[in-house]
Amino acid sequence: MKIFKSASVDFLNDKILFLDNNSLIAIINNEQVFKPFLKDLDDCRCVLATIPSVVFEFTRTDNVDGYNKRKRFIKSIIGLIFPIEKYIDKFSDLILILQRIKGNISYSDFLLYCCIYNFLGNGFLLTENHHDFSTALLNRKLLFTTDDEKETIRNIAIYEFDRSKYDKAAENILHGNKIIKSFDK
Amino acid sequence: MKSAKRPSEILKEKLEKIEYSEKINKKKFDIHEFEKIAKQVRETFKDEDFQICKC
Repeated sequence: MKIFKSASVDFLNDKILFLDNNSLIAIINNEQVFKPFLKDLDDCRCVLATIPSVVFEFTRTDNVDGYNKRKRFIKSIIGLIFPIEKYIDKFSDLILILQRIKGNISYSDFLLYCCIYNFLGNGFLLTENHHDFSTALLNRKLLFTTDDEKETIRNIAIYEFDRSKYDKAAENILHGNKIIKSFDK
Repeated sequence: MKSAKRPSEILKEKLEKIEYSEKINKKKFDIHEFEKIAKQVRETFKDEDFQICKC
């Protein structure tokens, strides 16, 4: 099994990296591959974070042992479970813009967007879901490609929120533009 | 007379809790612990749990 990394993780020094359910499962499935990456993050004091709804998705099962093991895993690597829903009113503008751009994304994905917007400049997202977390509002900072023994290639990326793309998207809504294809600078 | 616990209460007591907090827990990453727990968790996943989004 191999991992290919597009850049260094230095930009994550003292930052917060949010994980979605897909990235948690990718780490579980490829623990040997991700070990050096997690060690690098630890060395640069990057805090791994997630949100209650991702914990819910990750731990949902019908057996006690499985539930407890998944909870223990969360406790072992996650340093912050941020209760983003407490602040949901603060993100009414973002919710409107996301609804316009990515109207069918899941509730957890909405909340993860809110997290990296809330921690603008300090919060990043690790995900394999490049459809719902696209470069319409985000910048892809780093891309991992994993190549396992079954020759399955997977791409996992770290994204940051882009304030200028966001402002352009807001402008489009204010001016009643119906089609938003790109927010490239 | 002390009333018996409901099965749902007993079940709840067996389930581990987690704290949702805005406070960052800056613990050091323990590779050996991580490997051990990741392996245990992987064993508990059912096939349908692995049907994650592939984009």
